[in-house]
Amino acid sequence: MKQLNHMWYGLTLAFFLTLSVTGNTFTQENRLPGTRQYSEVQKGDYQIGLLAPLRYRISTTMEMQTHPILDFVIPNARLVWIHNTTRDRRIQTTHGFTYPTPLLRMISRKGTGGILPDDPTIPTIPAMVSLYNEIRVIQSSIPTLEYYFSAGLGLAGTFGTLDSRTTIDLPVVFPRMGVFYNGYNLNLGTGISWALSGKWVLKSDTKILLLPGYTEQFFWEHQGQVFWEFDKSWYMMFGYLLTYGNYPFGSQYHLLPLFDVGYQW
Amino acid sequence: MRRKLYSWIIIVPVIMWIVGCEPLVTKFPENSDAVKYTAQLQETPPAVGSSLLIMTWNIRFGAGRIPWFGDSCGDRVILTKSEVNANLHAIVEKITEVQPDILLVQEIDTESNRTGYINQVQWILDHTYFNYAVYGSMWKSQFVPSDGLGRINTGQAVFSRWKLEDTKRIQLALRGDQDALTTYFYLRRNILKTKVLIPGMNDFYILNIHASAFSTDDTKQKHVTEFKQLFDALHADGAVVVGGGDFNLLPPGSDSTNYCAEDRCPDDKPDFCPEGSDYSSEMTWMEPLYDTYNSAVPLRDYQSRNSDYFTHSTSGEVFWNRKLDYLFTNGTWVPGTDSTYQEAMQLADHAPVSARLVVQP
Repeated sequence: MKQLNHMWYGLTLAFFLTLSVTGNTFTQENRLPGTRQYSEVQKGDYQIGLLAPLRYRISTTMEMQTHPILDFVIPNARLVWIHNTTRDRRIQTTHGFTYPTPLLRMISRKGTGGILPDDPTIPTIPAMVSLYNEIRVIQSSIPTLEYYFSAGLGLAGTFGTLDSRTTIDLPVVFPRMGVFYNGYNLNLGTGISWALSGKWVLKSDTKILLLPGYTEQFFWEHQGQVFWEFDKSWYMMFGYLLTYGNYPFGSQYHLLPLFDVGYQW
Repeated sequence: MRRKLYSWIIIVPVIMWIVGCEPLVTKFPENSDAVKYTAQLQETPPAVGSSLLIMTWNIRFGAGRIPWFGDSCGDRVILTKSEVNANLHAIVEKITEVQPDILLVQEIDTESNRTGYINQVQWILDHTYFNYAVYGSMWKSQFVPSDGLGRINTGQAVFSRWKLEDTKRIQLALRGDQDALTTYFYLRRNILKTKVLIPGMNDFYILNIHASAFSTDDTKQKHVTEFKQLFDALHADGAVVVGGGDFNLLPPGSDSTNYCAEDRCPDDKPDFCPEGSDYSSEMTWMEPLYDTYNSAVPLRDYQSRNSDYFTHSTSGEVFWNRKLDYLFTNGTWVPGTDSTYQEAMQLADHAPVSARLVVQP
């Protein structure tokens, strides 16, 4: 029975961690999940996924994003602000914050589900916050095709000692947590979104994450996603994430599956 | 044509999605190649005399006597690099003092978060006179989601002045007393087999084992049986074999067989017995090896005075209180050359054991 409880605790923590990763809450990245093209989204529209964050279109130029489940353990929010729109181009910026301390403290424990160590020589995870800012230029030469270029800067502040032994040396997580150890990070990205038909959307993103001055500095990620709108409001996403990066143990490639189910209204 | 293109655009991510399900834990085949290492700087081996000094040592992943949570009553999990470096320096100092020709090591980390990702096999090779090493992992996981362990790769190694070939990692039975989830993330014990190419010696093999430590069923007995079967097969082929390591079993005829009181932690209930501390039902499991092969420490010597040959204690504050580490051969040990280095109390939770093997051309 005890082992069963441990298993459920571990699975719960794994769920939260997966949400954190796939919801990109660690750095507030704006990957614009979902099947709807920009022009189709109206003021007052919502979209939410099992793993993707809640998106709410406040106005024609602003969108709010957060992950409501994760907000309990890793408060996060981001604002997407569209500044300049022409017939085939728009410029938007994203501004967000993340406060991961509660989640990181929750997973610092003994036994099953202990992602971080509860070691007496390692200080408790301090209060820390990251701020993320990104600029993105989106070009849409034909109505069904969009591509973008982006550049982002993350800044982080820690209010106490953050021991270097508390890194989570896993793909996706490690580079995103790196901002807390390095103080800042940079990223460059490009991607394409192609509406194949009314029900199918293909997306591809490539990103370089940099932690200048840190011992592990370079990370590259590429993801391919297929969205299937199987109902007027429901969609399903599956795809892959290919990553390469420098970790404390050396460099490594990872290929990870992506899956999500979302609802838009 | 367009429909075909669309199909492929969808099929490719689906295939990538399926392939992308990488396992967190490395499962090993029954028989696989061991990992070979070479020292950065090679030293010319000395001419082989009439004997070789063979040593076995469980070095406790360079943790010295730091109270690590998994094998003592400690609460430490992730050691600092400086702690590990200091302990490795002390281990290498001992090796250099003893000067074994061949060294069997158990619990050596190559890529573990708990020891600062120091590749200890390469580190020892580059800080000693050994030229070659082989490594077999007993626990390799990209991430252990328990106690903050994270990434781990630990196992056994054989160090040698001479080249090693025909190196194999042979899988042992998994523990049978754990639930499926724990078993998936847990250790996969093995025997590391290698042939040592010593000039003038034909078919000289080393077997290095680290048998199950905490199992409460017959897993340890299975490990001894599998070890002996491998030993027997090499012996039947005419090879000279030295087999040893940490068997986590007591010799037959030990004065004390129950270490529940010694291993109990301060917070444990008075009647609690930690897993693997009561050897009472396992006292005959080492007999087949003693009956068939020559032990570096003769059984009669051990039985006449157990404490002189003790090699393990769980705490650095308690002197050695049991023998778990052995060397056996189908060849001949030079009488009276066995040593149990009990002065190495603070270097690991096991004492090294060595003996001189008669060289038979």
